[in-house]
Amino acid sequence: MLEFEKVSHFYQNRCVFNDFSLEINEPRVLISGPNGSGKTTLLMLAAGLITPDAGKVSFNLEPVLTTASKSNIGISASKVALPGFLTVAELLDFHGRQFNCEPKEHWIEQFALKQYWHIKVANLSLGNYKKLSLLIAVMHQPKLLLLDEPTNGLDENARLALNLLLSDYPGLVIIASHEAIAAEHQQVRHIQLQRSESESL
Amino acid sequence: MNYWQFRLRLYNESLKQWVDSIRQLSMGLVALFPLAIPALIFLPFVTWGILADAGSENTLYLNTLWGYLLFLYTWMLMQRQGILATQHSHYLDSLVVTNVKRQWCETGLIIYSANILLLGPLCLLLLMVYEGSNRLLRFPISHSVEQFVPILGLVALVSYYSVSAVRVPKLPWLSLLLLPLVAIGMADEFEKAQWLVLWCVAIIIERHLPKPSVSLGAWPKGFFRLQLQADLHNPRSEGLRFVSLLLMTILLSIMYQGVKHEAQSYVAGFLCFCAALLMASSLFDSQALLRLYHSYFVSLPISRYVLQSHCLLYVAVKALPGLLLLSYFEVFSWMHWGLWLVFYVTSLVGIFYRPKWFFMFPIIAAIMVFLLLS
Repeated sequence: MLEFEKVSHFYQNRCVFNDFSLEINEPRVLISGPNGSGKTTLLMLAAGLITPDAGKVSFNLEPVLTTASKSNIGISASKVALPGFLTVAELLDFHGRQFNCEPKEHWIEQFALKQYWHIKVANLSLGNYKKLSLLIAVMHQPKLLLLDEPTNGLDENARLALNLLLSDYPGLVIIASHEAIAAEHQQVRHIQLQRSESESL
Repeated sequence: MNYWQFRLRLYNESLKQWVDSIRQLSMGLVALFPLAIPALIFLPFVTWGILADAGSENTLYLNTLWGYLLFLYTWMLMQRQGILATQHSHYLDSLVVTNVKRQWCETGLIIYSANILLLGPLCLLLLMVYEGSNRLLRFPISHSVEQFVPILGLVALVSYYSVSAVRVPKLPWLSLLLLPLVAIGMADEFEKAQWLVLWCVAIIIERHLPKPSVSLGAWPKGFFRLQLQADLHNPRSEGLRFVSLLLMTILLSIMYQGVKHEAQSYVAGFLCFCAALLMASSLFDSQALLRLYHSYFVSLPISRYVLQSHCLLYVAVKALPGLLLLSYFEVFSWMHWGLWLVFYVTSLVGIFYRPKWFFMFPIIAAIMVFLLLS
């Protein structure tokens, strides 16, 4: 279970979340909302990548800010920039060593990444960068998978591969997107975020 | 605004960005050595005197020539992006400007950016030719050649390196690193003219040799590979640091040989302080890398402590080539190596805890060492 407990977060003078509480038990969650409503911030908070100004975020009762909890979380978001100076193979090898795992050949084939094996991450196209980011997020099979606009830049084949991956993914998947991805899953909870009215503290 | 003014504007903008990026380091230098800045401005005038003098000692001449060319090449290399306007190359390609005009503008920018380092020796040569024109007829031709060879060689090499730093992507590893390193050990074996011919041969050879490629293979792995690839992807910073260390070592070893025996230890002490500071500044790059990919690194199951330990270990390993270089010049005694370690560690601690005022830590250490020794 992912739990936000009285979370407040501000960007300079702009309030994104104020005393925000939420519990997520459902296996699939779709977060939507207008630009600037805090979809990406919510995912970054859930991944423990940013520290809330107040409140607590925990997954399965463990605070997400601890190092140990990172093994249970995977995130693909444009804000999580991948080291552009490494080749695809080097990055997957580095990432695999940190999580003690290897990327599944099946997923590499599905996302057609093998042909870009020795290309530097910085030189990948938007779509291939997104595929790599998704592969990085799922390769250690996290119990909590957070995807920010996962279909951005993906071609039709890659979208099908992503849908296939998500349809039988065993963990909790939270997607921030404008599109109805993973909608065929039986239990999809929709969370609509609103842009905060108060612009200043 | 015509094409030349536009290119000049692009160059000036690039220079401004570059100056901003090194402001932190330069502030440290100014704070540390306020009196050294005016001295640095007069340094080229001193070097021209040595380089144009046919009677100067071979070792001194080669050391000075190496230092001068290394400084010029690095100076031009740092301005390369601005001169070629690489950030705006696609836009420049889309303009209706002939190739000849473009080349002329770039040559103008090379002369403008090399400035006193290129124009100084050229003016000196013209002055020497003008003043010695009547002697050219009175003395045998071999005497005139002997007198003019050093300054002619300097002008030729300075012109070549000014242009090649901008237009030749290959680094002059043979002519500007290996040859001078070997030459200094056997400086008196050849005449100045012969050394200059050898220098030109080295340039021709390196131009024809294939560009050395760095392939890491399967080793190292993990965080070391990540950091190493980051350095190889953007070698400018690390290269600049190594060249600065090399330049500083050359300059201070010249000074070391020139001063009395009692003063040599102080020169070596000064070198070990500056070298330690410069080599430890490599930690700035590692910290910048962690900041740049902060979100990704935070998403990994590695604690901040382990991550920083990897950084420190990597920086320490990176110091090894610098240590080899320092040992090659044979300036340090055991005491100096010990001092180097003290200054290096205190600089690392300073960068780690107070990056903006990191130089205060080795300064305090230096004061304490001075008080202890006296």
